[in-house]
Amino acid sequence: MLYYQREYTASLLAAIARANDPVLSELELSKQHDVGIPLQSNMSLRRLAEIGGSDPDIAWPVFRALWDELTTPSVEEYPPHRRPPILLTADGISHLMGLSLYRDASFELIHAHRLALVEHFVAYLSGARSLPNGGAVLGATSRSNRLATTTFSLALSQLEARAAGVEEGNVPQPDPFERYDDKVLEVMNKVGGLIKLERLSTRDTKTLLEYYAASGILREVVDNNKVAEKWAVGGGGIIGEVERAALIPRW
Amino acid sequence: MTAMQLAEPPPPPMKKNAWTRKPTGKDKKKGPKHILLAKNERVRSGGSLAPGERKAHRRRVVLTNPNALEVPGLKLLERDTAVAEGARGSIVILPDPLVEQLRELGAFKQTQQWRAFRKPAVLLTEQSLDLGRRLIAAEERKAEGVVRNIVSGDKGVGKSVMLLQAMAMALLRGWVVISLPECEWRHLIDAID
Repeated sequence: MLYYQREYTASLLAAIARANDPVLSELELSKQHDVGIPLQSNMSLRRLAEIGGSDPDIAWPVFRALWDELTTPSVEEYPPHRRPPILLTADGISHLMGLSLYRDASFELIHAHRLALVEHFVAYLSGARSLPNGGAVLGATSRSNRLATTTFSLALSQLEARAAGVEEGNVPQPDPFERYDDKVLEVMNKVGGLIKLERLSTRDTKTLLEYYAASGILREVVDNNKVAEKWAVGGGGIIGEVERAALIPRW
Repeated sequence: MTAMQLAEPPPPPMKKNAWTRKPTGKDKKKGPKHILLAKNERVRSGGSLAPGERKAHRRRVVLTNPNALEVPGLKLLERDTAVAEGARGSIVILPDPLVEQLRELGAFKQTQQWRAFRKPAVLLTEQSLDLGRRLIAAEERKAEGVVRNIVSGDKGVGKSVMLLQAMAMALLRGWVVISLPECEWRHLIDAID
């Protein structure tokens, strides 16, 4: 059983309508949808998203209708029925891999994957459902605001080890004394890969510092010593830390 | 003594400013030399805010600093930047309409230092260009070529900005972008503003 989030879906639809306006206002409905209110048959997808965004009661049916439209195979010959690729992103996915803060009728915490929007995202991340018109699904972890659930931490460390080319014998194994979350493990095992971000090289750090100096924010001479200093203070080229080392004294 | 000398000089015209009021019936008892003050009502500034205004103000992201200099010679991020020559290691400025779209998607975070610069710009590293090239390849490959990745790394290494770059490149190429910008439960709930 899935749980719907009316208000959140409505605000998501409103953001989708505004952010994707150039594309969605050129595309029209190609099918009938039952969302609870009458829809004009040649309505633009932008208008559809807007309608869902302004009325939480029909937000989820509208989201489903919009998604149904976007995942209909594209008709290249008729521009209003062309369907572009979709990019789905989520920032801070560790929170989606475990229990949510919602409680059900028995006051038990609801698993995140039983919330409709989360289930939707996770299905596409794991490849359980595919995007017919192509696209991408990206989930970013957050280290500063991280829910360190056992299963997700394990799965992530396994992904990182495999991506680094570690042999199977040395990849972190599940602890026999811990209980793991099967739903999360299933998703994480089917993810298409990991992008492990690297730290900056000194050359890239130099480009960055020159940009800061040219903007008038960094008032120091950018020579090799300065670059080495900021790179080292930034933990060996961690861009956020280099940024703080170079910019924060100004603020 | 004539009658003229005994007459009182006409009362000086009363000065009108924000603190005075017009004379009412009771003020006949007071003479012309008394200034009539308006009631000292305290003006409360600020007024009442519409629902959600305070939260929007708290969550605002400033993306420009008029005191920062425009950096000459920087290119704009374009549709084909990922496959362009010389893009590696360069800083590109995000075009204004794209910035507004990214703002709606929640791509800019308050903890990032966008407000220091004149215009938002990003550094194109090898990894961001690689992702860009994979997105372009995914356009051709449709259902089989869907890129499905988790972006991870140390704290501060640029994961959220990597998502921003992916969103920017996708929007420039005419994709539809749907994002869940903050998956922390505090944000991912049915919050009614």
